[in-house]
Amino acid sequence: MEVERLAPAERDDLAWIEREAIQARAYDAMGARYDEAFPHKEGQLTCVERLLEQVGPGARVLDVGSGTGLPTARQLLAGGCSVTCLDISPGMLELAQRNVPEAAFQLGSVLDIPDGPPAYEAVVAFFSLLNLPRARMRTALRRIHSILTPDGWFGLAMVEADVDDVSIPFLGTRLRVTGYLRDDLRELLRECGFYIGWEQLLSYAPETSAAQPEIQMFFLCRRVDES
Amino acid sequence: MDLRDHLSFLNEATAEIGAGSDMSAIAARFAAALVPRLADYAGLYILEALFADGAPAPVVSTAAASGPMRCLLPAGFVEPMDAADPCREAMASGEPVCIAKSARDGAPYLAVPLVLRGQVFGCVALTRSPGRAPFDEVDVLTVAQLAAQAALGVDNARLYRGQEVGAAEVKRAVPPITPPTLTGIQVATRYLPGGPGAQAGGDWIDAISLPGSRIALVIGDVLGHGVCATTAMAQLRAAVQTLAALDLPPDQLLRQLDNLAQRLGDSYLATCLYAVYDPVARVCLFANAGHLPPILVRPDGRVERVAVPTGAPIGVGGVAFDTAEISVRDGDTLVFYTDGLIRELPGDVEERICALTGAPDLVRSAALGPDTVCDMLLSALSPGGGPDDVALLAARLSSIPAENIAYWLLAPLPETVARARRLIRESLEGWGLEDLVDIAELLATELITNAIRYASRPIELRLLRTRTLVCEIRDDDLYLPILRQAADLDEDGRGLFLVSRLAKRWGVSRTTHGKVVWFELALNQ
Repeated sequence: MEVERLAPAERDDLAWIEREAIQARAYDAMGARYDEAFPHKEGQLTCVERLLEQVGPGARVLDVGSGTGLPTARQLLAGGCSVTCLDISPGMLELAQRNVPEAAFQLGSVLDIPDGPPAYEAVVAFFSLLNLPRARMRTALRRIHSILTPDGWFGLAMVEADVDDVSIPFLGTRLRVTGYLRDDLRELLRECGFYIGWEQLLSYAPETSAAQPEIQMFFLCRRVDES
Repeated sequence: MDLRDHLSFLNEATAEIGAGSDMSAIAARFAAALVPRLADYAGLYILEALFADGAPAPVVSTAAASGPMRCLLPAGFVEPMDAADPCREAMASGEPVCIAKSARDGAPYLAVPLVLRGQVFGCVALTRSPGRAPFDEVDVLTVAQLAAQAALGVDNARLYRGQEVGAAEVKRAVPPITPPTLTGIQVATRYLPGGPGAQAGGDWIDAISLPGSRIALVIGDVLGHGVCATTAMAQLRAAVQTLAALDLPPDQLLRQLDNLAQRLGDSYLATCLYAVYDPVARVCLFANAGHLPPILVRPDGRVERVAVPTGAPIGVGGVAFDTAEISVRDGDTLVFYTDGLIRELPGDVEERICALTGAPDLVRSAALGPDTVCDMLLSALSPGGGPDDVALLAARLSSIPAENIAYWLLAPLPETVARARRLIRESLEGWGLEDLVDIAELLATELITNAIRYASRPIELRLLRTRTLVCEIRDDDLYLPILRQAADLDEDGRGLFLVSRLAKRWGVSRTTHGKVVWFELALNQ
């Protein structure tokens, strides 16, 4: 099975490349432990169900930070979508290749997606954009906006917090994370050209002492274009 | 009285007096041996000062006589001795006092002090009916001989009783200190001090409330018996309580405990199992220092031996401890026990643990609650109690559902205070706790303001809705705030004062990376 390797968009920013490599290694180390610590993904499943009500079978969907491919890529495939899994972690992509071999696979960051005509009817990013610093969040959201077809759908999950690029202990490794409070995130999505059609806030307690309980925020947004 | 007859009397009386084990029995035997052969009345007095511990029976006296001398004083009677009493003189001089005709009633009288290791601690007093011959030299020597025997017996009884009282007091000190209200757990404990005559043991159990609604469960067993084991137990137990309050991870806690045991001396050897139950994450963390593995009874009827690391006993020194984490579910029951519980079972330790996990009523009793589990196990495995002490703890676990928790990581910036207030308001409104919004916002403002002033990393705000509302604020500053009274013009120092006045409970504890300050508000105020 082929994994398409995206070229880093910011070739010259060595500090950023190094940072992304560290984050990728953290996810490599986590591997399947991630799904063990976060076993019940009701919020995520509901969000994809809502998405599938909007996009028909055959829709092209990009799963940003697809992780193990479970449950989202599988759910999208079961819904008849054509799924591309994108992840910065080669280890996670390996797991995903085993779990959802029908999908296409890309190694890289959402920021590395090359410019081009809109290629997806939907994009989902569940708990993946939270690994970007705020300075790049807007870029990432605009990039997602640009690869969506007009009126395309964007499913986003973030953890509610008010921090920018802080290092936290997570499942035995360390990750840099960013968070927004609900109002700030709604505002940011609007600014980046998304209309929030559905949202859900959910308290979630991982089944481990190596991660904190969190408030998960799910948004289903529609791409809008300023007329 | 010929010599043979006299020696035979002396021999029998000595054996008779020596057979008494407590003071009353010795006094009664002493009197019975002497009356009527040597006297018509015999009494044995013990100085009250020997019972400075406030125990009863300061004076033991027994009268055994016939005729008019019968029952002059009941046993155990406390008698202030008047100044003219010949007993006083005998005790003051340490020598027998023999009176041919007492001034009071003309009867012959003999008082012999009870002396042991140079210390006078009582007196025996004999009288004869007024018509009988006075006490002669042989009588005095005979009584002195028997008094020495009685003195030995009394002294032994006194020492033994002191030990018994001490052991009983120590045993009373053992019951666990269980916090009155625990969320997410129901704990039952039992401590059986061992059979009659058993020395105080070294078993202990505790349940300790930790920040974040977590609960530490502790069971320990100091090897050996007697006051030394109990003293070591008390020290280790206090140390565990203190280390738990620092919220150390289980493996580090046992490491520190082992270090402490090394410093206390090389005679300390104890097994200890330390567990932390987190009702939010639904996990139990275990570290073990050579203690028997706990048992987990699942509501579906499975009974598992928890795979805790074995670990070396506390006091061995220099060994590493590991932490094991297991997932638990609502309704699971954890059982901790000391070896006294299974000592009477046949087979080796493995077979005994199997017998414990296979106890027929275990699953059924677990459904009825932890108290039933304790009672069932004690009656099934250790009926009537064995020679060893038994400590037993059963804990039924329940979780705090995620919807009753709110958690945020917040940058330590001035604007965070107002943002946190909004988050608290929205959460409490979502939980239908509108009436607590104002006070929760007020107190959280004080604590968050304090936290952002010193924190260098993001602070953590957590709300827990259980039987109460708990608000926790964590930061990475190690300096623990101290409650103090602010002066009239002080701008600082009012935060904790407010919290202490307005919250139901509050507290500060150290965490691995800083501290947590929390307060608790009663629902339905």
